[in-house]
Parts: sequence; C-alpha cells; structure tokens
Amino acid sequence: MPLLDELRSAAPDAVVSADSDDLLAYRDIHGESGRISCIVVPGTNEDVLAVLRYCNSHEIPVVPWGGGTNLAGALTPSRRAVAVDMKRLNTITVEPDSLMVKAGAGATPDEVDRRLRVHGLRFHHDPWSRRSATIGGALALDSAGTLYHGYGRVGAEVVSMTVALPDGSIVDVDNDPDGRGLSTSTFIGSEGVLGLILEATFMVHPTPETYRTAGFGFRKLERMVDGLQALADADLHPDSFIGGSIPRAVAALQPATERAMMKALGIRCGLFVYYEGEEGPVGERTSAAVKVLSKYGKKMPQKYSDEWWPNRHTYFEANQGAVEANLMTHVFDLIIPQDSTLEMAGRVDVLAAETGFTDALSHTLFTALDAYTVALYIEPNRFGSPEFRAFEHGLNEAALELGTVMRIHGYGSHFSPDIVRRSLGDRLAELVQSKIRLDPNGILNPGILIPDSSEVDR
Amino acid sequence: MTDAKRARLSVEEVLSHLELCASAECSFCRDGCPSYRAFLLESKAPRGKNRVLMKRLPEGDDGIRSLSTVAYECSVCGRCSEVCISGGDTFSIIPEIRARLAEEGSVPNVLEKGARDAMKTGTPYSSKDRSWADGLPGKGKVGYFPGCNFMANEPDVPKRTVHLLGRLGIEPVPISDHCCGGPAFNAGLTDLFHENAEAFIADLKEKGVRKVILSCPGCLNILRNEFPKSGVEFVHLVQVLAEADVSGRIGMRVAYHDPCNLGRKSYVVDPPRALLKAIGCEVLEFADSGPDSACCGGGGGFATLHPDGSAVSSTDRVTEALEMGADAIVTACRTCRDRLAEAAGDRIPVYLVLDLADGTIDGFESALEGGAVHD
Ligand SMILES: Cc1cc2nc3c(=O)[nH]c(=O)nc-3n(C[C@H](O)[C@H](O)[C@H](O)COP(=O)(O)OP(=O)(O)OC[C@H]3O[C@@H](n4cnc5c(N)ncnc54)[C@H](O)[C@@H]3O)c2cc1C
Ligand code: SF4
Ligand code: SF4
Repeated sequence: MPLLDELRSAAPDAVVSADSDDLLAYRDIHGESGRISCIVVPGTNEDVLAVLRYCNSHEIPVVPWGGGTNLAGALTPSRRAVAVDMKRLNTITVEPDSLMVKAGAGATPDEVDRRLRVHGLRFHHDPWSRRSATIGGALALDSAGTLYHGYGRVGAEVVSMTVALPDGSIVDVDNDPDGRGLSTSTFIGSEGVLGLILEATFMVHPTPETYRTAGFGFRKLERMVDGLQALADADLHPDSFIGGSIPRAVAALQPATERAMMKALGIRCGLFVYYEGEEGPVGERTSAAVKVLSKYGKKMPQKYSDEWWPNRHTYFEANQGAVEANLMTHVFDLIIPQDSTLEMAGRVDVLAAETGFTDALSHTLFTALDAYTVALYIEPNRFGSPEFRAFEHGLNEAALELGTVMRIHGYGSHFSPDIVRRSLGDRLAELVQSKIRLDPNGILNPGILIPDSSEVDR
Repeated sequence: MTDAKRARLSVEEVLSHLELCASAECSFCRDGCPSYRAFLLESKAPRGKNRVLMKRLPEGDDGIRSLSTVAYECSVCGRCSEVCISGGDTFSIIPEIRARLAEEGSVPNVLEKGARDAMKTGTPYSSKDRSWADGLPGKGKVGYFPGCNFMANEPDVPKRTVHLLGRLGIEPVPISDHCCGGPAFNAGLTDLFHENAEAFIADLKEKGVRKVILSCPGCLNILRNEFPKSGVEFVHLVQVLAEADVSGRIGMRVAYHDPCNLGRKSYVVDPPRALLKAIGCEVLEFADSGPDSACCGGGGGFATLHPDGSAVSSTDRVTEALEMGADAIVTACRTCRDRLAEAAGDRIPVYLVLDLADGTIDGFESALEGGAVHD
C-alpha cells in the first residue's frame, strides 16, 4: 500500500495529504521547501502513536510540526520526512484551584493565556509569537517571552508532560527522573529529536493587580546599558523591558510621530520598562526607576509607553520602518553577562563595519540584563550572502567567548556542529545518549540539533 | 466608463506584495482564518497560501491555473489583512488572483454559472419579491436597496425596513433592478462585474438618488468599496437607525457579531452597538470583535463551495456566545445570521439588529419606547 494509504488507515482521525501545494507550505521561515514528503494532522493522541509506530518500523523520518515559527531551521530535516502537524491537539484544561493548566501540544500560548484570564490567572510564557507558536514547539525549544525575567523560560513552570516516543509508545514524565531516567527536562529543549510532546501541565499565576510603564530615549547605547545597570544596582530590575538602538537603515522611515519624537529628543536608542504587582508598590518602583533613568536619558511622552505594553506583540518601531523599507529582519539571540554587554556591542560594531552591515545593525536588550539580541535589517537578497555568513560566524564566535548563543530560537539546522557542540557542552552528550536509547532508528528530526555526522544518525 | 476603484495588479506587483509577508512569515493570521480552521493545513492559512502563490505565480499560465484552491478556499473575510504585521496579507491579492483565474477560464463552475445567471436576471436567486416597494416614489435623493438575498428569501425584512424608515420620515426610492454584482466579483469575473456596476449606477443616476440605504452588508461592501466612484453615498440601515433618536427597553444580554463586510471592510462598528444599547440591550463583546472580528465562515462563495468547512467558524462563534452567557446573538447580516443560526440550533436564538429594533420578536413587541421611533 502506498505511504499515504498506510498512514490514513493507521491514523483514521488524521488529515493526511501529499498534495504538492500542501507540501509547499510546510517549510521553515525563510527555508527551502522539498524536505517534507507527506503531511499528517492527527486528530487524537492515538493517531500520533500509530503514525510513529508505522514510520519507526519503516525507518521513515518524522518531523513534529508546531506553529512553524522557529527561526533556526528546526523544521528542515536532513532527510525527506513525514510532517506530523500537532495543531489540532489543542485541548486546554484549567484547574484554577490548584493553579495549574494542562495544554495540548497544538495550543498557542495566546489561547492558554486567554483561557486562564477568565479565572484571574495568566500564563507565564508571553513570546512575541504568542498567537502562532505552539506549546509543543515552545517546549521543544524552551522558548522565552517578555516575562522571562520573573518566571524563566517556558519550561521553568512545567510540572508534567505526556510524550509519544519514537517507537509509538507513550510516557508520562514529571520533574523527577523515572525508572528509565526520563523526566520533563529530558524533553524540554530537545528540539523534537527524542519524542513528540503531546501535552504539558504548567503552574500558573494570578494576574497582577496593575502595571506601569515608562519610556526613555538615549543618545547612545552605552547610556542605556548604564541606565539598566543602575536600575539593577538599585534593586529596580524591571519585570520586563525592551530597549535598543534604531538602525540607520530604517530610522529615516519611522512613522512620522516617532520620527518627530526622535528628532526632538535627539535619540538613537529607545527603552521601555514595565513593572507589575500591587498598586502602591508598582507606582513607587516605577517612580524610582524614572528617577534613576532620568540621569542617563530623556523620558518619552507617556503615550508612547502606554501604547507599547498592550501592543508589545506587534509593536516594535524599527520593524515598522523595516517593513516600509521592504527590508528583512534577521535576529541573533545571545546570552551575554551584563558586565560584558558593552564589550560585546563594541565587537559587533567592528564586525558590522568589516562586513558592510553598519547601517543595518541594531542592538537590543530585552526582559533580562543578559538577554541580548543583534538584528540586521537587510534587503532579502543579502540574507545568506558570503558577508552575511561572515557576520554570523564572527558574531557566534564572539558570543561564545563572552557568553553563549541563546537557545530560545533553537539550533535547528542553522548552526554549525561546532557551534552547537561548544554552546551545549555536556547537554549535547546527554542528548546523544538519550537519542541512541529512545530513537535507535534516528527517525525523529534527523539533522536537527544533533548533527548528522554524529554516531546516532549514521 | 467610470474609473474602477480597484486597480488590477501585475504579477510583479503581486509578488512584491507577497515579499512583505515573506520578510516576516509570522503566521499571526493563521488561527483567525476560516479557511485554515476548515481544513487545518498550513497551506490553507494565509502564510501557506502566500508561499504557494510565490512559487506558482512566476510559473506563468499553468501556475495561475493551479491556484484555484488557494483562491477559492477563502471567505475573503479580510481578517488576515486586519492582523497582518507586514502589509503582505493574502486578502488584498485574492481578487487579483481570482480575476486571473477567470481570464484562464478556471473559475469553479458553480460560481461562474451562478454569477452569469445573476447578472442576467438581476438576482442570484430564482425569485425577487418587490412588493415592499409598492407605493414608494420613483425618484428622490434617498434610495433603499434591500439586497437580492432579502428580496428572495425574506421579503418581510424589506417591508419592515420601509415601515421603520417611514416612521423616521424617510420615504426611499426603491432600488431593485440589478444585483450588486457580488457573485461576479467573488468569482473574479471583473468585466461582468464592471458591466453590471455601470448599469447599477446609471439606474441610481436616472432616479436622482444621492444616498442609498442598504440592509445587506455584503452589498454595502461591494457598492462602497468595489464600485467605480459615482459620488453616491452608501450606508447601512443600522447607521440610519443609530443616528435617529430611538429608545427601548428590551432588557436582553446580546452578543453582537460584526459581519466582516460591515465591521472590518466598511468600518461600521459603533452604530449597531449604540442602537442596541439605545433599545435597552446589554451588548456583550466576543474576544475578537469590531474590525478584528472573527468571520462566520460564510462569505466569498466559501460556504457554497465548502459548507462543512464554513460551519467550523460559525460553531466556534456560537460556543463563545454561550460561554459568555448571552441570551441571544445579534448581527446585521443575513448570511452571518443564517450561518450562526444553523450552528446554534436551538441552543441560542440568533437575530438581526432589525428584529430587535422594530420589535417583531415574540415577547418583545414594544421594543421601542412607546412603540415609536423618534426623529
Ligand atoms: C514573529 C516571531 C516572533 C517570535 N518571538 C519569539 C519570542 O518572543 N521568544 C521566543 O523564544 N521565540 C520567539 N520566536 C521564535 C518561535 O516563535 C519560538 O521559537 C516558538 O517557541 C516555536 O514554536 P513553534 O510551535 O512555532 O515551533 P516549530 O517552529 O513548529 O518547531 C520548532 C521545533 O520544535 C519541534 N516541535 C514542534 N512541536 C513539537 C512537539 N509537539 N513535540 C516535540 N517537538 C516539537 C519541531 O520539530 C522543531 O524542531 C518568534 C518567531 C517569530 C516568527
Ligand atoms: S481573507 Fe479570510 S479566509 Fe481568506 S486568507 Fe484571509 S483570513 Fe483566510
Ligand atoms: S500575511 Fe501578514 S500576518 Fe500573515 S504570516 Fe504573512 S506577515 Fe504574518
């Protein structure tokens, strides 16, 4: 029986397709199509298990598909694979009394949060992609959102998970290793190479009583970084923030009001800070933060910061400018200890000058003092060019020297085996051991995270 | 020939529009897309459609002919356009793709035949009840166009509307000879659509009409947003009623569903709410409402071609209204009302705003204070 019919009879509640147009849509962001041979959209957990059993026994590669929003080629396997699209498995059960929520792999953080809000609760994972990423994909990459400073990455609040293993068996894991040594941490951040996450239970938190925001403009990145450092020293680390330089490539194309504001304030750098909690303390902390930051920059009109927080998932000035200029944004996420941020920024500036990206460069710090993003705003044809590769290589080397390459967007297939090895260290060895044990046929996500040349995939 | 409002796009222009999406590929538009909700495949969501379009369009005529599913598995609800962060949404280019498919003779039969017949007979339906127009003047500044759907399937609505307008002192000129052209527009048959639009406008000019009141948001969208410029103003009935000094004591908790053609495409968001409040309703809001409203799944020929798929969106809407504790769902569009009522069964009633405004619902005879609309 051809593959399609086999899969249809194995997974009766699934949508199965190998239509050429359907296949075209199953590719990574900015990636090439042609890596997927067939799509299965399971309607039940049993469908997932049956597809895995079939693929495992025929040694057919499988790619778990979430929202398809990762930025690291984590959906681009080295061999043609069956995509198992998890989005229909999106049941959400709120247990308000025990402050827990159980979410199917296909639910989005936005859906989970909306369901919690009805009970006066909220979900701690609030990425920019909250409307399109899935719980399964977020856990597979251990993503981080705007509340990372207070709550950590998405995986930090997981209490248990149900996972489909490559052989088609199912396992329930919690935070303590079971008899086989499997726990939630085996699968969190494993980029889908060890199992398909079916559902996860998280601790959740009451929605804070209130919040306040403030926005500041700075003449230089250094002033902003010093200001943030001063906040931390005064025990005023914001509950969330975003701040960064505005690249020349898009500054001229900012929407008119922002352009006027930037001109009036003479700024090249913007920062928004956010504090949440009870009315009194939040007001006091925000006022104290404003006092501290005023020594380093100029306070923006309040309406800008009022606008920022409710629109934080769509609002980022430079991106609007980039869209108007038809430029593509490429972000590199790094973790750089706060006392090395400026040294790193200096090295990035030199690197950008050497590779011709000075005008396109922006530095951003977000949500925690060590979370540092470098973005390039470039014409689409410069993506992947030799100078782009040179910039990327130099950046990763500098990051690994001063800190590390951040994993929130995954390693996928974009990073060289060397970078993955140096970033992950012992964790990679652990992953390889688990891979040999759980997926001896190497069917799950071949070439993702664990390089193809490793003993597992040979 | 009057100037067409919507300019045709070259393949290069479509591709550069798609480049905007390609620079982001965020998929923020996925979950609100009725086509995605119906088929559950990436290729049916705007980002997936855009990826297919980018690959197929440069392949010439064969590529274009292969785009039928991309183009017609879309309710043209405009939701992706509303949420898009890049300006590269699918909705904005669907009419162009449909027009190209029509040029290639690749319109689905059921849509093409329906559109051609409708433009010939002046209605997509087999009949057109015009009794509501009896006694109305033949010429005047204000016209009333109920839309073919109401005239064929619910002639009582135009009658009640004329009565209500009469109480506001408006005696409209009846407009009923032509279809608005929606079926031709949705099929992509642009020449046919423009021919019909010219005839429609000529009829208005002959009757001296400067402003047309409509009952159907679908027709409003076509006349207001797709017709060539004519200097005639097009408004929906709820706008007229909301401006009048009406009051009532209905005392119902209603979930108001914004029809895509009214809330999103014509930006008529506040008037229906103001009217419902004025007649004594508590208006509950869906999580996605106003210009951001979720589609009922019924537009753009989608329900005709994919009835099961379209039912997914309406069922979601009904579930949300029940969860909110609404006594009824209220909307201003017949297609939305029917889609939602079908999904609701006997779980929750679904009304048109008019039903509440003119007090014709059982038990709510005196919806308007003193039974009168105050001018
Ligand atoms: C506009 C935009 C904004 C973003 N903002 C943020 C942000 O603020 N913070 C952040 O951390 N990231 C962000 N990202 C990146 C991305 O959204 C996250 O990495 C997200 O968590 C990926 O989830 P996904 O469901 O889209 O995963 P996918 O891209 O579908 O998959 C990612 C990896 O996980 C695997 N996988 C998917 N589902 C499962 C499953 N059920 N079980 C096992 N493995 C699975 C896949 O095989 C793949 O290897 C952003 C991306 C975009 C496009
Ligand atoms: S117009 Fe509506 S149905 Fe069509 S692609 Fe956009 S969101 Fe989907
Ligand atoms: S159409 Fe707009 S919202 Fe949808 S994926 Fe493309 S850029 Fe994002």
